[in-house]
Amino acid sequence: MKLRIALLTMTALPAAALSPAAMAQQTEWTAFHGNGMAQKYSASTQITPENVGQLEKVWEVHTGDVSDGSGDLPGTVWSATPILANDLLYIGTPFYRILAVEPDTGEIVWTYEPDSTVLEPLTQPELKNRGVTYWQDPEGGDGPCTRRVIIGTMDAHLHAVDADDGQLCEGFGESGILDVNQWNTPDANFPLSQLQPPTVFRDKLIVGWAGKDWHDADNPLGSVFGVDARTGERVWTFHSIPEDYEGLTGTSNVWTAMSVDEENGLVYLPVSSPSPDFYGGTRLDEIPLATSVTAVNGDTGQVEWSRQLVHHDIWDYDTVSAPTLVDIPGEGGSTPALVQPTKMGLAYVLNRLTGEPIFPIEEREVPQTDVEGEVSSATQPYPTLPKSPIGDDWGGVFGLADIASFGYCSRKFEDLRYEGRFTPPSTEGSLAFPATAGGMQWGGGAVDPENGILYINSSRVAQIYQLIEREEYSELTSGGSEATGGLFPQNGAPYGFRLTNFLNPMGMPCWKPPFGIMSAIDLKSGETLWERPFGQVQKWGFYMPESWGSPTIGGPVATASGLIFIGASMDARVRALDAATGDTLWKAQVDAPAVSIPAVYDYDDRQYVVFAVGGNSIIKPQVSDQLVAFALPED
Amino acid sequence: MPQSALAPDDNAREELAARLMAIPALLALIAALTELLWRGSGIAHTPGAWLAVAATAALFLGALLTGALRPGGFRTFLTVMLLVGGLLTILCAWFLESGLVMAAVAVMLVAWLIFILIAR
Repeated sequence: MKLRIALLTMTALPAAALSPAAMAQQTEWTAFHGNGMAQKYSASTQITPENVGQLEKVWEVHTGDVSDGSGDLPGTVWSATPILANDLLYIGTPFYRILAVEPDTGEIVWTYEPDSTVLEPLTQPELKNRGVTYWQDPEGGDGPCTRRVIIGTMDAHLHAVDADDGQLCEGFGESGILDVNQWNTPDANFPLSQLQPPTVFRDKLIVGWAGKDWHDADNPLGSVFGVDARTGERVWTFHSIPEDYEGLTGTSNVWTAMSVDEENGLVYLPVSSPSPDFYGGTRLDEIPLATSVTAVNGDTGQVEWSRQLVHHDIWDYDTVSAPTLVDIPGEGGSTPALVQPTKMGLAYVLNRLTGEPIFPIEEREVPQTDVEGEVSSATQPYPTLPKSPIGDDWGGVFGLADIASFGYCSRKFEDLRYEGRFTPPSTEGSLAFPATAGGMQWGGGAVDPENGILYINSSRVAQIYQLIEREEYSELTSGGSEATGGLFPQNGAPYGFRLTNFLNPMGMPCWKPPFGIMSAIDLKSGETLWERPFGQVQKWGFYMPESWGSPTIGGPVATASGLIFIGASMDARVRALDAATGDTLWKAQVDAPAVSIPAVYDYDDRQYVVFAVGGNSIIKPQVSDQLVAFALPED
Repeated sequence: MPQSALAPDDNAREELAARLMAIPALLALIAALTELLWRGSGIAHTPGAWLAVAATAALFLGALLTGALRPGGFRTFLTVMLLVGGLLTILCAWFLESGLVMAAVAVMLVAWLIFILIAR
C-alpha cells in the first residue's frame, strides 16, 4: 500500500501543480494550503454531512515543543499545517524541529533536530512556526534529497532535509542549511526571520521573511527571494520599496504564505505595510507596491502586475494571507481569478492574469489625519462586492460591557476619534475598526473550485491607536504585543505609539458582538450566501453565548462532500460546518485553540482530518503541542 | 408490632433527606474536580473550574451539616443558602458547559425540595 501511495504521490504532485482540474481531485495535502493555489480544498468525500457526527480521535502526538513563557523560554505560537506527501505526514515545531509521522497511526518515523538554533524572540515576542515546505524535484529521480522537507528559523536559516530519513541535504546552502540573512541589509536591526515555510514554484523556493516593523522606522527594505530548491542559490530578488528609501522606512515584506499559478508562471505576493506602521510622515512619497497584492514572474521575479489595497498605510493593514486562486465558473467559460482577503475585512476579487477587478473597486474618500507631519491618502480602494462580513461601521458601544463597567466604554468612546473605516491614528486616540488584529487574517479563505464558493472566517476587533509625541514617549517604557496592546517606540519618527484593546476594566469588549463570523460568498455573483457567528469566546473557563462568536486565527478547509473543517476559535474546539448553511455539525475539544489550517487527506482508503493545536496569546493564553487526527470509525 | 414503632422518627427522616442531598452534591463535586484536572475538559485549571469545585464542595458540606443540625435559625439559614448556592452553581456550570455538574446539582435541588417538605 505504501508503495502504491508513494507512486501516486510522485505522479499526482506535478499533475496537481499544473492543472486546476486536477486540483479539484486532490486528496493529499502537499502544501501549507493543501495546494499552491491556496484553495484549502480537499476532494475527499468519505466524511459527509450525514456521517461527520461520528468522527472520533484516532491518534494524537505531543511534540514536546511547547512553552507558556513562564520559564526560560518565550511562549510558543504554533500554527503549522501538517503536510501529507511521500507517504508521511510532516510537521514543523516552534523549536524548529521536523517530525515525520505515519499518517494513519501518528507513530513518529524520524525527527530532525537542528544542532544549533537560537530559541530567542529575535523578531517576534514568541517562538513561532507555521510548519514546513515539501519539495519534490520536478525532474524526478530517486536519489537522496530528490524529495526534501524545509523548515525555517527565527534567526533566518532554512534547513533542508531528506524527506525519507531527515538527514540534512548537503548540497543545499552550507551543508544543508541556508543563511537567508546573508541577503539582509548590512547592519540591519533584525534578522530575516523564516517563520512561514517557503512557497514552492517548480524548482524554486520563494522565500519571504518576517521582521519587527513596530519598533523602528528604518528597517530592511521589503524583499522576496527566488531560491534554487536544490542548491539554495539565490536566482532572483524582488524589491517592494525603492532603494532611495533606505534609512527612512523598510519592511513591506511578505511574511505570510504566497500562492502560485504554475500554468501561467506567476507567483502572488501579499505585500505588507511599510514601517513604521502607524506614522507615515517619514515616507510620504508613493510606495506603490506597499500593502498590495503583486504578481511576479516565478522564474525571474519581475513584476507582472500589482494592485495596492491600502494607499499610504498607517494602520498596519498588512496584506496578510496568500490570495486564493480559482477559476470562477461561468456561462461563457471560467474566469481566472484570485481572492485577496484583508485585515480591513474586505475581499478583493481580481483577474489573476491582469490584476483587473472582477467586481468594481471604487476609490472612496476617507477621513483625513490631523497629525502634524502626516499626510494621509484622500481615498482608499473599496471593492463593491463582496460585502464585508464585518460591516462598515463598528456598531456602537456594547451595552452589557458598558453597564458592567458603570459607563466606562461610553466615556472612553467619547474621548476617541472615530469616523468609520480608515480613521487615521491621532494623538488623542482613534478607534480602529477593524484593527490590526481583526478582519480576515493570515488563514485566508477556502474555496470549492467546482462551484466557486468561498468560505472565510473573519474577526470583529476594535483597538485604539494613539500617537504619542517623542518627548512624552521618552518617559514611557516600550513593550507589549499585538495581543495585549502596548507601547512601541517607532524610532526615527516624531511619535511613539500606544495600542490598546478597547476593553472595559473587566476585560469585556466594548464593541458589540459577534466577535467572529464565518461567511460563504458566491464568487460568481459576489453575493453572500450565508453569514454566521463562529466559535465561542471563553474567559476564565466560562463560555459566552454562541451568538457572540469568537475572534479567530487560522483558516478553514472545504471538502467536496460539502463540509468545512476549522479550528481557529478561542474556545479550543475544532468544528465541522455544513457548507450549505454554516450549521455546526460536529465539534471536538482540543488542548488549546487550533490556530492553524487543518490538513485533510486520504490514506489507505480512510479520510483523516488533522489539526496542529498550538494556541496563540493573541486570542488566549493557552498553548499546546498537540497534533491530533480525526477519522470515521473503522467498520 | 404497631405501625408507629416501624416508622423512622422525624430526625432520622430529615437526616436521610439531607443525605439524599449530599449524594448528588458529592457527585457534582467529583465531576467538577474531574473537569478541573482533566486536560481535555476545555476548562481545566481555569478560575471557572475552581469556582465550580468550591461551589460543589460547599453544597456537599452544607448538605451534610444540614442533616446534622436540629431545627432552628441556623439550619433554616443553611437550607436557604443551599437553594441559592445550588441555583448559582447551576448557572456557573451552564457557562462552563458542564452538563454533569448541572445535572447533579439539579438532582440535589430535587432532594432539597423533599427535605423542605418533610422538615419541621
